[in-house]
Amino acid sequence: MSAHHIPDWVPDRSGGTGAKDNGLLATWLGLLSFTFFFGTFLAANAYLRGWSPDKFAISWGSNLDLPGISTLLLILAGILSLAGANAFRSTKWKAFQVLMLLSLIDFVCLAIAQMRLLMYTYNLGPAAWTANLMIYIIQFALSLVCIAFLISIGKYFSERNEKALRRLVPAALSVFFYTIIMGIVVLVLTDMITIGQFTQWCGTKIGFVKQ
Amino acid sequence: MALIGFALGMFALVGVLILVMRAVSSFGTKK
Repeated sequence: MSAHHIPDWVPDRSGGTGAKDNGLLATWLGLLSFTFFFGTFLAANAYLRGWSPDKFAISWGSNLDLPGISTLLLILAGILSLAGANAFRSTKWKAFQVLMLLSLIDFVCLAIAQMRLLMYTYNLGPAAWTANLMIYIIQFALSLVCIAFLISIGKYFSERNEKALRRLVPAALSVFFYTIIMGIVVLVLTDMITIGQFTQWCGTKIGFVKQ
Repeated sequence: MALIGFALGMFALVGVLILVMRAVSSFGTKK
């Protein structure tokens, strides 16, 4: 059977959503499997804080704005990169260039904010390392991956390689939005709700399992 | 109970992630 000819009955999905090449599919599968790796550390954080709140819950003191700053930067990065991708889709190159540059600046600020969170947690001692440090290391690494994606977008843009950009931009956006969603999940789970609230939520949502 | 909550939460999270990543994949195509 010839591999060169696409049969007539295959629907043309080139204009819609979905994985259009193996690279994008691999990005998705990689991110989704990484979610479970990430989830174990989130579960450990929730478990430890539930087990011994006074030992494992972080008190931010005067640094209460640290997690908030990184979340605001994340949301701003989402808006900027989405607007940039929209400009890319409508082939407005100047707007694409400016918005991606702003996204790059935003992600660099995010990496700095994550590093500050990391250092603050590191200085709190072993209990804080166990509960929070790995989560912040992962978030810092994710922001570095986003920066790498933005730099490669800049490289292909400077080469005017539109074909490569059409493959790269959706993959990069999926990584950006992965970083943003996971960042908000981390904020809610580790900073905004107590474990009592969490188990209560689980109890009300899945109380029928017990009955 | 918290364990089941976590399992459900993970599946919900993965579902949301799949939907978002699928949605942004349309940005690679020309309008």
